[in-house]
Amino acid sequence: MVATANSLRGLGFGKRHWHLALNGSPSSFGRRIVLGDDPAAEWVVFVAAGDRITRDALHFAAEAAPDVDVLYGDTRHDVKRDDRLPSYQRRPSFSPERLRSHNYIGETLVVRRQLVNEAGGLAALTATDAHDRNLRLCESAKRIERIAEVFNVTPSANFLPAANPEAVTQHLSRVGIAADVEFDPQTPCVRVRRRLSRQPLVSVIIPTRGSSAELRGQTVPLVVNTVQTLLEKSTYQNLEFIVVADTPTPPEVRAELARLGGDRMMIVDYDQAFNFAVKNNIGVAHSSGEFVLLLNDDTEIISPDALETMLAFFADPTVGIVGPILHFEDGTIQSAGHIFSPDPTDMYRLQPADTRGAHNYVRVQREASSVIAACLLTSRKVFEEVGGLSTQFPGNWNDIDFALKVQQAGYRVIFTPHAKFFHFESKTRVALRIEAEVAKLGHRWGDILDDDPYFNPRLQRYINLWRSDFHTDRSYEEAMG
Amino acid sequence: MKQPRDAAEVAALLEHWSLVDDEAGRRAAARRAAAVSAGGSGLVRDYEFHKKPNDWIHLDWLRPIRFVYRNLPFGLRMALKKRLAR
Repeated sequence: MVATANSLRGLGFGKRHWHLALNGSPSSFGRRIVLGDDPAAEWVVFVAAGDRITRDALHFAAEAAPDVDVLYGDTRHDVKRDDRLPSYQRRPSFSPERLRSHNYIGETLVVRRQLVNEAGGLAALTATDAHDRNLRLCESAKRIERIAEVFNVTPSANFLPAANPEAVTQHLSRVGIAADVEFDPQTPCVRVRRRLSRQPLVSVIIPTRGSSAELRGQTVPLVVNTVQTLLEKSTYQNLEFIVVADTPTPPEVRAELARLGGDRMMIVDYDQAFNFAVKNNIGVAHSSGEFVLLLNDDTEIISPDALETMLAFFADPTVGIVGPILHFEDGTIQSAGHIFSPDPTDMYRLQPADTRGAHNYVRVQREASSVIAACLLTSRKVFEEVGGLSTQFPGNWNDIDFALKVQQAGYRVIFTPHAKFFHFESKTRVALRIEAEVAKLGHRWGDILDDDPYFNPRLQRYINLWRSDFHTDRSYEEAMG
Repeated sequence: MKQPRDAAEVAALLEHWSLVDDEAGRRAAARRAAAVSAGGSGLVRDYEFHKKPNDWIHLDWLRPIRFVYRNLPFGLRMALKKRLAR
């Protein structure tokens, strides 16, 4: 408390500018100080008792554009021992889906006074916990801005975001999302399980060459395994399959696909040079489903309700793409969404299956800049609106370009760890980098690759995410908020 | 088994999507150029991944400084590191 009061005085604020709100036991960290309890104040700063607020928090509020009504930033924890360096919680840009899972924004928030009044008033917002408060404020906000500067210094070394399932339930009711809330107290995080109100046709587009590989000790044609497991394991069955098959695809594979799919199966011959984007576009052009699942022929469904989980997001018209978590055959993670560092990177690749990720990053549904096209669900409307996968990227990064086009068109890209697939890609595969594709991708999206909104520019780039950061001796794993 | 659609119909659709993609690409490039200009640089360069602009610590001329730093007493080295990390 003394530290907080001193930091406020240090910034030139006297007692009339701040208000102590007791929340829970006075000895606990439930106490909150509300700075600016003056009806004439333009901004309200919420800060947890014991934290010190930095000058940056106030500076950026003073400099904020007129339409910005919520600001949040990074958190620093100073360690008292001289041989230990401070640790940071670096936060990504505003991610409403992630905020529904846990309070990744933290305790410190700078909010316009008018928004505080609209969201229930100071008394109500200080009487509740930070997750509930942040949900209420963010659902009413016009524009929320993340500033990649330290806004508060905390004595607490626990950076794990808290989650309040009751607050999420009330939030969903207020914003009209039909969903059930499940709480995992061990992580902790909330799963918002949206309800699927109808069963639209999903076209599954599978480009293939009909190759076989050894899976669980048996040699099987990969595409047959993909279709068969989807038919056997998935609880969602309003599907059609469009297999875009290279000319050398063996006749026995074609016959087996025809037998498995019956009148839901279409095989389209492809005899041109390899172009992943063209093959998928051809598949979609032949399909008739309202939704399109782009699926590699070396994948396999794990969670039976994966399609329902992904499909239910599309009740929200701002969702353009949903991607699941992908695992290698041994269970290690193949991709938990992409991050641009600036080289597009599969998050948590090769990490164990039960990895929680930095601040439970792998356990929560969240916005992502891109997801891997080995398995992604989109709507036909969105696919057509952006012109499908760009054929200018025949081998690599067509998924990155597609996701960025979709976001440019005003839609969100969602990653969900609650839909799970295998991706039997080689662990040692290194994508062949074609400089012309790099230049084209950068020509369109260079600024976003250099500053991924769902990353943090303060985190070291160009290095493997899990290596130690030589500046701070902290790993990115710990730093990524 | 379902029969593929008419080839001409599919070709027309692919051609249309290609035009839409070109337009989206033009918009994206214009947006990037505007962002680069707003950032203070008048020149929009070709993009490359492989350069590591913040890998300054391994520049040749820093080698003797790194050598001196590595051989500082532990307490002094940590104090310096902590200061630089802020």
